[in-house]
Amino acid sequence: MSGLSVRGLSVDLGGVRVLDGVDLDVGAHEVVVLLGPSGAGKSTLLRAVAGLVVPASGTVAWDSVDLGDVPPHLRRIGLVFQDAVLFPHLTVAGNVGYGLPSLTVSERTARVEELLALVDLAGYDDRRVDTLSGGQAQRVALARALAPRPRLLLLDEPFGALDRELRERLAADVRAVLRASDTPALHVTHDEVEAVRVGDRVLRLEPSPDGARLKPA
Amino acid sequence: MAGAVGAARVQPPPAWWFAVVPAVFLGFFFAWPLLTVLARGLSSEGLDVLTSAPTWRVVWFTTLQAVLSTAATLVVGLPAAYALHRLAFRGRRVLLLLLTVPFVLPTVVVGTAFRALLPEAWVGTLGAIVLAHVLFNLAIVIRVVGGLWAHLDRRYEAAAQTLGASPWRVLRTVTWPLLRPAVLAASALVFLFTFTSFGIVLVLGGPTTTTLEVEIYRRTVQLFDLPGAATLAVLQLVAVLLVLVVAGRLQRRLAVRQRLARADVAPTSPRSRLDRGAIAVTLGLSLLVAAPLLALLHDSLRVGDRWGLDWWTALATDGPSTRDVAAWESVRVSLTYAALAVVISLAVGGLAACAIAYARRGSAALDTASMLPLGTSAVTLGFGLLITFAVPPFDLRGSWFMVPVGHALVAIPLVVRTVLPVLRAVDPRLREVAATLGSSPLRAWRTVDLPVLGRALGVGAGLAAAVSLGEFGATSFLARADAPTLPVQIGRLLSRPGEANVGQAAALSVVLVVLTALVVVAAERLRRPGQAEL
Repeated sequence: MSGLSVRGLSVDLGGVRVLDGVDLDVGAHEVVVLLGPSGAGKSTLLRAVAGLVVPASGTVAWDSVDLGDVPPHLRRIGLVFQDAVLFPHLTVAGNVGYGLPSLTVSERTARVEELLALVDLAGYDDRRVDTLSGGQAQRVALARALAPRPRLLLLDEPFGALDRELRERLAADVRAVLRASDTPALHVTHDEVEAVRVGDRVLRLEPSPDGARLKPA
Repeated sequence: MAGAVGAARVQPPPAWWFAVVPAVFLGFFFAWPLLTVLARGLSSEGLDVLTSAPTWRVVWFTTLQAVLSTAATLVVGLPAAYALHRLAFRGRRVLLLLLTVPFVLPTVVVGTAFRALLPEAWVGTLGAIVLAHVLFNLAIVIRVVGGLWAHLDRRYEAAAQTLGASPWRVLRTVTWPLLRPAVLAASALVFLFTFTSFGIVLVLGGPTTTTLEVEIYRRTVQLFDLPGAATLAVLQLVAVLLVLVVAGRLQRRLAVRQRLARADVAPTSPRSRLDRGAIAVTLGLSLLVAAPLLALLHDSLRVGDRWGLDWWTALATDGPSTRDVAAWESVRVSLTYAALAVVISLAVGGLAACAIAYARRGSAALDTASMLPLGTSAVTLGFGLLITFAVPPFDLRGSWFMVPVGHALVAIPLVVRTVLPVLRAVDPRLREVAATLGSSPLRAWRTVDLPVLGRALGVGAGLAAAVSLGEFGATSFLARADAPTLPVQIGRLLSRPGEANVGQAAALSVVLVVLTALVVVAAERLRRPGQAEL
């Protein structure tokens, strides 16, 4: 089985079951969208796949290799947060180049420029991140996550905080960028239009009192 | 027409209404004495002190021990701040309280307690002073850095992790730069407190291991070299101002505008080796802090080679000379002075906070100015008060209110710190509502602002009382011989030889620790979550 496979994943947060027995596959070349109302446990699912929370039970595997004992920084799974979470003490270039510590300076500069061009922000290298607009910050976050060439990209409502017009334009951009870099992605949103626009496949996460479960849309 | 077109018509009462009393009080009891010290120090005989080698040896040692103390406090304080604010483990809250206790304790008590534990050969060494300073100032690093650490948005660290950064790299490249402003603020405070350290060095220091603050005291009280003392006081004041300015600059340069989690981020169970190491450091520090406190109790109950309450009962007995009142009397003296200091500092500090909050221009400058007494050495302050009010028409030497005035000066900045954030948070629309209901500006203030001040003033009162109970530097100049405060009495007992004096000093220290702890716990209960600390 190539790509991501999640089996029977359950997560407890503060003694409450947030996810209950979730099964999910993301193929090596597809973009899967996870749709669900806020509070359905979408972010928790992504955090569990990234290794940021430890599941109560179930497995997360890549190409049939269990990731249970692999810490987040060795999983090669990127994550884009809802509100960018750019490092406030670094420039735009510093943020995008953060995941590339092993490259030489010139290699890193080249890769950063390549990615900034990809997200349509060429020339923004030396900008301070607190001078960016919401949409620009989100595109820098996308470039930053793609820079180390993750084998899977997780997107946690990446446009949730933006207005509709910008959101639709960015959704199209993200799809193009993912295609261009041939990166599989698991994209979480509560916006049906965005779901259809970005995804090859759409799944629905239904909340229930004893933990969310997945249903096909 | 009041105000420009479009400007809010309903304003709080003008700032100068509130500024009059603080300005007069601080001008008379703070600025004037300070300028007197300055003038005295700049005389020709005072300037001779600057060219003598011993002076510069003292300056060198003062700086050296302050640098070492600050570095050592950071090295052990940062892991403890992390463990106590970010990791979930049994006993976390109790340890947090325990490690904060020494800071609110009087320096003389900490010094005494610590001395009781040390092998005699260690007394007077650099190592002993640095170790005591670490114990005393640990709370600053834990509270200031830990306070930010607890609110640090964890997604910055999560983002770095998903980009392939190892735990060590996350700490180095993300957590550290975000914490740096708080670390700097804590370092500056620790440096100031250790640079101007008095009680601890007086008790633990030796002839070659002394600070400027102790030297100022020695020259004034033992050598009657007032110009020399004044010169050293000026030297110290200049150094303190320099540190404040440099720290302020650095802090602005390092400041990072970051999102903070609104509530404390829930601590997580320890996972890595780094986590377990941080907990081990915290446990070690707790033992180090608990030991002197237990030693005090031990010494107060140990009579020769048996246990007994002899030292406790001796507290109530009059000394050999008529001027030597019973040690127990100092409890009454301290409580009286504390009550007076609380009243003065609440009145002056509360009004100053209102003036700062309502000032339309220069609010930031006033804000900084209100912190000055905290940065001024207490000995300089006490000394300044002593020489300023020694001449008619203001010959106030030996008058009963000089001690509470000295205490209030040290406490006022803390009261301002506590009250100001509360005042600034008052919704201006509430005053507008009051105005539309027919209230005059003064009545609007009395009915809107004053009620929210109550709780903040309560917290401020607790802090002021703790400061007054423990204050030693200024008091040692100002206290009358027949009315010593608790710390002064403890210092006196310790300066005399014999087991009985040490035992009584230990017993009085226990009393002082209990009194201070009660006051601080009472104040802590009034504090709302999220309100200013320290």
